[in-house]
Amino acid sequence: MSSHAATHGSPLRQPSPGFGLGLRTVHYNDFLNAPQPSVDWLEIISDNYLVPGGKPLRMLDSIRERYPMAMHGVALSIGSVQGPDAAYLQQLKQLVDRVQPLWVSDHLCWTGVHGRQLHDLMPLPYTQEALDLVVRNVQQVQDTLGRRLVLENVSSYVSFAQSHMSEWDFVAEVCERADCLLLLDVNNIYVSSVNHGFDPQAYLDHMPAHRVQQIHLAGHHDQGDHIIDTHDHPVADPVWALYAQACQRMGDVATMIERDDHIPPLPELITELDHARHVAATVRQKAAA
Amino acid sequence: MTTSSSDSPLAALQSRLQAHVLTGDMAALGDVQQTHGLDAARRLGIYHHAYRARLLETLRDTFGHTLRYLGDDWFDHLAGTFIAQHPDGQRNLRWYGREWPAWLATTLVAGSDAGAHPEVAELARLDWALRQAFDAADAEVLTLANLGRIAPEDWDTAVLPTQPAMQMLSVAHNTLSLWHALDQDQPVPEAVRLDEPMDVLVWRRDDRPHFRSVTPTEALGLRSLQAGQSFGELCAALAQHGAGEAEATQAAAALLRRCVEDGMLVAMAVMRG
Repeated sequence: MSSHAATHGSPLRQPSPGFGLGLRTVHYNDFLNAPQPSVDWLEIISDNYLVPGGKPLRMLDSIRERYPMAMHGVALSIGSVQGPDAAYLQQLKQLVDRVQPLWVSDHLCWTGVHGRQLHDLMPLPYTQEALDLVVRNVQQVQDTLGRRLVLENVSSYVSFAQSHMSEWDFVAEVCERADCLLLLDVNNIYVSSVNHGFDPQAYLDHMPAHRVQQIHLAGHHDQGDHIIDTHDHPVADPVWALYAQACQRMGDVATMIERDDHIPPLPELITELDHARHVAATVRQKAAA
Repeated sequence: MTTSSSDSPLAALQSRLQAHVLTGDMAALGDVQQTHGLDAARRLGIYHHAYRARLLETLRDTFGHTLRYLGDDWFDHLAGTFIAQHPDGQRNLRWYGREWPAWLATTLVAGSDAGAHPEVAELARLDWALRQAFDAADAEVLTLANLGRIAPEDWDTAVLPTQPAMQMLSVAHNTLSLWHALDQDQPVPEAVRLDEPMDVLVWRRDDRPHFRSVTPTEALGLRSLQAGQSFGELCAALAQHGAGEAEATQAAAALLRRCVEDGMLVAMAVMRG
């Protein structure tokens, strides 16, 4: 069965639901106790809810009643030579049935082989073999979930001697061949551009705009001679500048801010989200003028 | 490192990288492009370090009271050794550390650098049990009204399943006192061995994990319920424990009442009526 069984005939991407935040436990009560009109939608880390029961799933159900949600995973390991894990896919499918998400995303990476889990987003070499493998794996996932998968570009700290194409060509080719969608992480592009010395604008220019379903923004930690993707700071200025360029090129795309460490009170994140709104609106106004 | 000559180039590369992350094996050095800024070894080292940091953070989060008891340095030292010996095979970090209490029990023994500290493994077992109870599977809670629907003639064979979150532990030290002192940031008493091991019940109520010590009779009854034995078998087990038949039935009824009040039993379809 090809990926067309899962995706044929459905519109390529959904209209943008607006500006969202990652749902984190410290903000559960903020979302349950009062409406947060500045937050149009929420992104959950799927893996945090692949648990048997208890408070996490109860909170998830309650908050889902109030907000549209996208599901974002970290353990699909779409680039592993061993292919997607059937048991994990089934668990994910059950969560999809429960949440009825806007869309389902994970990362263009691998997370372990030979039965080991590294709990990290390990980069792939940009080779024909890796491309063929990822396309095959994405098609399998899309057939199981019955929907297009949304794949995110990752931050990386190594590039491989074996690579014979650029990361942006690899990403674009995966999306076209597997007929999947893209979660464009603007911070990751910036982090990798510094770590590997490429032009982030060239990366953006090669992205298939019609397949970009979502944009991620996040903060990072600048170590001087390299940058680590930590999600523990506000979004950095060069990333805002790149976001403006992405808006220019991609148009109206669902945008959210990820914060995973040093998580501030919700109003602080909402202020940052409003800044994203402002950046996107400014680009739109300039384009209309 | 697990590679063979039949591996594809991608499979071999992933094996080499994984070996570096897990053990520091440097075979992957030749795969890393030397282009810009950082040298290849430092680039690989970022992944090697991140793996350890993530698992350490997981252990520190799951075993919070054990961490407070040991202090940062000692905990991190022990955790570092454990992590090196226990690569993870689960996609979800929730399960990492399952072997940590047993590992502590066999590591902190007489003759080890730190000497014998069996109370540490008991603290870790309690931390683990509470964390498991937090997001254990849900099941409808049995009420007194549900119990009233069991016909008198059915009581002997009635099976009253316990909630999936319920667990029974046994401690040989004043571990519960240590846990409470650590939890409330009070001075921690010296660890001492109890005259007799103490049974501890862990369960979840209203989203929150709880625990309490139980008498040997209660423990016997709870283990009988947990094993799926019928009310008749529960009474027989208590009678065998030394109580007379009437006393055993009374003790079983008291145990059931307490279990229902604590929200520890599962409502069965037949009882909901």
